[in-house]
Amino acid sequence: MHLDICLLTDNDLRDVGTFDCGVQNEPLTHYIKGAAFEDNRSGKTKTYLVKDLDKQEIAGYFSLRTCGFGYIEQGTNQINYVPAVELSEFAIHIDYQGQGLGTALFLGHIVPKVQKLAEEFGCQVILVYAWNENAIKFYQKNNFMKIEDLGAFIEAKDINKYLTITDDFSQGCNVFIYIL
Amino acid sequence: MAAIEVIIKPITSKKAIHSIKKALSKSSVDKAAVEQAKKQLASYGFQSK
Ligand SMILES: CC(C)(COP(=O)(O)OP(=O)(O)OC[C@H]1O[C@@H](n2cnc3c(N)ncnc32)[C@H](O)[C@@H]1OP(=O)(O)O)[C@@H](O)C(=O)NCCC(=O)NCCS
Repeated sequence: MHLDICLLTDNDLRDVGTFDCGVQNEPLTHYIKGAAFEDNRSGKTKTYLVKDLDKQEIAGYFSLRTCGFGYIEQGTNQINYVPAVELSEFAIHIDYQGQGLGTALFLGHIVPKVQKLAEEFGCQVILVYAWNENAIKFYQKNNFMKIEDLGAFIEAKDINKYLTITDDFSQGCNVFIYIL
Repeated sequence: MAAIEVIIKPITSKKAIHSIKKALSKSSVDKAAVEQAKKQLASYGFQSK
């Protein structure tokens, strides 16, 4: 297999048409065929395609954007902000899953890429929202930790007192972090 | 997938504050695994720029 990893461009519109990462992951299959292009143009996320040059098909893709989270120290109003990069989408084509490509891509490319960024901009962690068992296994295997394991979350009744921006997708997801 | 989320977590004990700071100072990066993964990508003809 010969691979290339490149930033999504409008010229890729036709090639992403056959991308499929499995029935349980339809939002990720849809994203790359639609919203990814607009998000890429507007700067909301940057999406990279993993191209199998032999088969002339898309073997996977991932999207990155900046984000962060904060925590309050007891007895102070001070918020400690933890700057992060969110791996907002990560998908391997169903025909390529379970063969080590996701691991090679994450450790051999995404981690070094974010580490490089962190040399110039503040960034302490890579953050992901994981909503299915396979993804959770994958992240745990690759040294991610569940964010809850850092300390106690806000109780739901107190949530409005704090700044929380969320959307439907992240409800019920597990937030995992990989510390740089 | 999805959402820029700001999670504000109240810390209920000094121990927890310590553990968050401590946890964040401990890198997840397994350098040997990263090098191995880079080699694997290189075997696919991909060289990071
Ligand atoms: C999760 C995903 C990116 C992992 O990439 P991958 O190339 O399949 O993973 P690797 O082969 O490098 O690693 C395999 C490990 O990941 C886990 N895994 C996750 N999905 C798997 C799958 N479909 N098949 C086999 N293993 C899978 C297993 O724990 C496995 O470890 P094991 O071989 O010891 O059982 C990929 O399976 C995928 O795109 N899944 C669908 C979309 C998705 O869930 N994305 C994550 C969104 S948060």
